[in-house]
Amino acid sequence: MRQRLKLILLILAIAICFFISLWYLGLNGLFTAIPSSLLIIVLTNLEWIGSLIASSYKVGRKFNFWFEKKAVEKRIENTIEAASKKINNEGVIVLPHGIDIKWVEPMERDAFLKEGKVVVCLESSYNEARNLARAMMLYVADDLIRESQRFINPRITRSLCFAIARKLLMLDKRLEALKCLNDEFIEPEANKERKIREYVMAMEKMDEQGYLSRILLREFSQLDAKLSPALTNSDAMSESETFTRFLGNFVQREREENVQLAHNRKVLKIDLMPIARSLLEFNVSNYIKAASISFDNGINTIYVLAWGFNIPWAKSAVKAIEGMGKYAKFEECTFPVVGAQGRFQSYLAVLMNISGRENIPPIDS
Amino acid sequence: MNNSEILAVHKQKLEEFLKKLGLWEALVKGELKCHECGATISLDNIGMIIPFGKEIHFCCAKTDCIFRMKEFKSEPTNEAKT
Repeated sequence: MRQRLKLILLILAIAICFFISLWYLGLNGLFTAIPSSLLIIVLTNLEWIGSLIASSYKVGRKFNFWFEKKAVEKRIENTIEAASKKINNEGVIVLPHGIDIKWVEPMERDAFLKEGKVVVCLESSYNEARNLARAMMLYVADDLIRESQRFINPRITRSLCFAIARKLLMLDKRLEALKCLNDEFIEPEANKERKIREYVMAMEKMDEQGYLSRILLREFSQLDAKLSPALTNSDAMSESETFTRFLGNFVQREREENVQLAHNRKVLKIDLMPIARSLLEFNVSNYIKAASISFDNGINTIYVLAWGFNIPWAKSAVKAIEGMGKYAKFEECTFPVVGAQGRFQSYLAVLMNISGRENIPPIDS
Repeated sequence: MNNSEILAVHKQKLEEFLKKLGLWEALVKGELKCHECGATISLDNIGMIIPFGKEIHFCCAKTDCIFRMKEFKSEPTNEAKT
């Protein structure tokens, strides 16, 4: 839908540009209309142009090694930049940095040791899929919620990196690289540790429903702000795993199945509040009562969730809960998701405890 | 957006790079081992070259090793300690 709208706007902009140029300058207007239309196309498709430039270097790779290096470098930089932008646009900046590939020249041992920087080996541009998969893993492992990584269970961090790297490659439709990532990186790990496979699958389910970045990564990204200057925290370490399982159970629940909606531990004190009306009845007082109980239990964040026709009810529930004066709406968003019944709108509102009754555990040094 | 820098060496230049470091012979003879899993490093599985104090370590391209090496390289080097 968004793509179609973009295309319509682009065609409209070009048509207007042509019309104005021809009307104002007559036939000479063609000479200004064509370059200005091209400029519009370039400005509205920067990612596509970047990808085109990256591919164009391949033409010269047989003749000069410079083109070969540029083909490798630009393909990786473009893919990562475009995909990370898309994931950051979901609301939480989980990959705050882009990537710059710098080629190192051969140097003496002493100079290399003095420089003290890790050097990654990259394949030729003919092996683009492998390069992309490897660079994506390195980038995600390094950049994903970087400041908070030290508070997250390493098994969860690893699963998150796999899930995010897969998502990034899928967003850019790099299917060969995705296959390479699966075969060379994920499968050997998942075969060795069964839980990693379970977590990656749960995270992909979260992502299908729009909750991977909006809930899981959002909560994890705040750990640094909550727990700094501690080097690590054993509660956060274990809770990162229980919280992933908790959210995993929620997104993988069967219809009508009752699952836990509260994760109330020392560090992560979160409630999920899915809003659904039974037949035509909607009673907002139930949600006010639930929020009141959450407040008494010291819950810091309530995520109000709704789908399709329930969204207006969810908004009225959020308004009513805000009216209690115990939780304030921090943010809300609607986003499209694709489910078994097709594409529909999903809604999420983040309500934060305004009393500052956070029970942050003592710092481990 | 500030960018993370990744220093890279192209596979076609790897021989030249390792020769300059004085490690090419060792690679050819199969004497270089992955610092994490102990696998013999070859041109097919070389992942990273890591300077550490006065030594140069290698890491193969396995995920497990890359993750562990990431933790390892974030520790202070001998030089940094002195």
